[in-house]
Amino acid sequence: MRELISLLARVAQGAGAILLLALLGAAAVFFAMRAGHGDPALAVLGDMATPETIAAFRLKWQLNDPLLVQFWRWLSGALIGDFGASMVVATGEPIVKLVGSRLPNTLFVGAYALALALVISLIAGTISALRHGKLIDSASTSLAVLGISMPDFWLSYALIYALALGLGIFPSYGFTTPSLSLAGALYSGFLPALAIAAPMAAAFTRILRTALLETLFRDHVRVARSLGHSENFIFLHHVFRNALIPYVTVIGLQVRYLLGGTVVVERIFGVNGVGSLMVDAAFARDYPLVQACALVFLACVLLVNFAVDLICTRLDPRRA
Amino acid sequence: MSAPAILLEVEDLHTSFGIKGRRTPAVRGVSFMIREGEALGLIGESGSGKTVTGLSLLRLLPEHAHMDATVLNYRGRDVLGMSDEAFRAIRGVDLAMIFQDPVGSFNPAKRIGWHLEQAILRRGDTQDWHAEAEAILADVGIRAPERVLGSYPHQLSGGMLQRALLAMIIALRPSLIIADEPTTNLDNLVERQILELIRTHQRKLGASVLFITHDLAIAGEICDRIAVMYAGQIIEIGPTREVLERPKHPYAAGLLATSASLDRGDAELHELPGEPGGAIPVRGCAFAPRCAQAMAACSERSPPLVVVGPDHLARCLLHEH
Repeated sequence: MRELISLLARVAQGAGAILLLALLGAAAVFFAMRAGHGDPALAVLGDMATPETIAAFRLKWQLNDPLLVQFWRWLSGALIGDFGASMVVATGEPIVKLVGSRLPNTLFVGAYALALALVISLIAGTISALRHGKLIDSASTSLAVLGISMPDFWLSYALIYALALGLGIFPSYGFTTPSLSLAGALYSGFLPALAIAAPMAAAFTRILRTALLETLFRDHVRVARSLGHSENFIFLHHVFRNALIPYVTVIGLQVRYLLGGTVVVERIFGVNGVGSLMVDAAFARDYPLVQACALVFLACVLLVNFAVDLICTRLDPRRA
Repeated sequence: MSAPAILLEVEDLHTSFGIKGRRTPAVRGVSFMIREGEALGLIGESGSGKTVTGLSLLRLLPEHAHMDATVLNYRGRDVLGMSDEAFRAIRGVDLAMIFQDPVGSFNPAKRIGWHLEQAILRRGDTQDWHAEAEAILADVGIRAPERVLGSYPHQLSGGMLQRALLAMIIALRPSLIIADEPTTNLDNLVERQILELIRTHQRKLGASVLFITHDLAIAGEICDRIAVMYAGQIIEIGPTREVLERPKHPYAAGLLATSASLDRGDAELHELPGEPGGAIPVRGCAFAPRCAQAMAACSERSPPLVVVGPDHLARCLLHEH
């Protein structure tokens, strides 16, 4: 009962923090967009624009109102789930529909990437720690450094070159929506997910290896050994269980990689997701669309961080 | 009446650290035996090799350590040749160890109840671990066993944790307990209580104890015999009263004088000259550079252990006749 109450208090606290951060984020996104160069009117009307048509466009989208008035109009709409319509990319389309149709793709590729990163790092990190100083550890550690240092756009092209064009195992372009075919989505989403996962997998592997090694030599592990417990038991309950705490914490911190990752990688692999939508919208100065996309990403990161925080509290009794 | 059977026999134990060719010796030829029900004190300052001796016996050395002995017998069985898996089977239930730091001895992610449950299940003949855990905790002087079982290690004091750790050892019913300075991190009052507990339960279990400490007073109370270590060797070993009242090795005598000086609260503390833990001389007695009675021969050849009294041996040329 007491645990349930403290959990509920934590959820309420977290929800409050998420709302506050989302508001601040929304303001940052809004004003950053306006501070940049470019004009949506020019993007829509192109070279044929006359001063009259531009003025008409600005009037129609209420771009002449004071910034704060525009911000309030957008924010009050967003709070009740109305993000307005796209100005440029798909003129007149409601943004909720636009983003909503692409969000599943992005969430799928993001979750796919996270899952790949977890699987790779759990295997590589554990082997590295148990065989520390051996050849396989050096190989995995070097690979991890490579994974962290490689830019994702470069890695994407390298993967396309090797696995798609070279060996022809995976498609180089295009993505099947998971609602259409789950197998197709898993297959066509593998390369983009791997490109996003690589730097995360590298970071996760390194932290897991370090955490395992640090825990491996703790006193309670030696005590457990002195009591005659089996090595498997000790690894599972004493070593791995405690190494999980820093591991999960770092996962929470690294989720932002998913963000930057999807934006670039969706574009390269032609995934019809929120990331590529946001890039299109940014180039076109489609203010409300960029703002909505950014807010969706922000919400995802905040929610994942919150979930990770809850898990960490469960894992580490000293934090409860 | 014949003397109790020999439980553990160690001969010429060597332990060193580091890689081949550049090994630093920590234990250099230690030999002793412990009889059933006996408490042997292993005394020495930091770095004398007493803890490493204890860890060697239980195969708990770090991986870059190397250990060897001519004889290592437990109940007449050779332990040295045992596979790791076979040795694991006697660890805990036959040979157990209590460590210095009770706080670090517990898995911070698990409750005390889990620790006791695992220890009791390790012994493997129990229907109701919970009832037994409560009984043992009450036995080691914990007044609210139920609350302690449900607590995490960080919620309890060091003294409480040392009691709980002792409870885990008692649950395993080992016949040899290696206690490595089990009260170093505790305050005086708690220290007395824990020592009392160790003594009571040693008798109850009929277990032998290898008591590792730097505190002569504690060793004097707990132990039947005392072995004094210096620079990885036992330099004097004998019945407690013999060693404490008639120390034969200059180092043991100096240690006792310092301890007595501390107890009296002298304004000027009696100190041994020189620094411990320096480089061990290639030839001769390791203590010779600090010894006030050193002779020319002391830096020439290593002294053997010689008989200096009933069941009393010392490693010093002064007593070689």
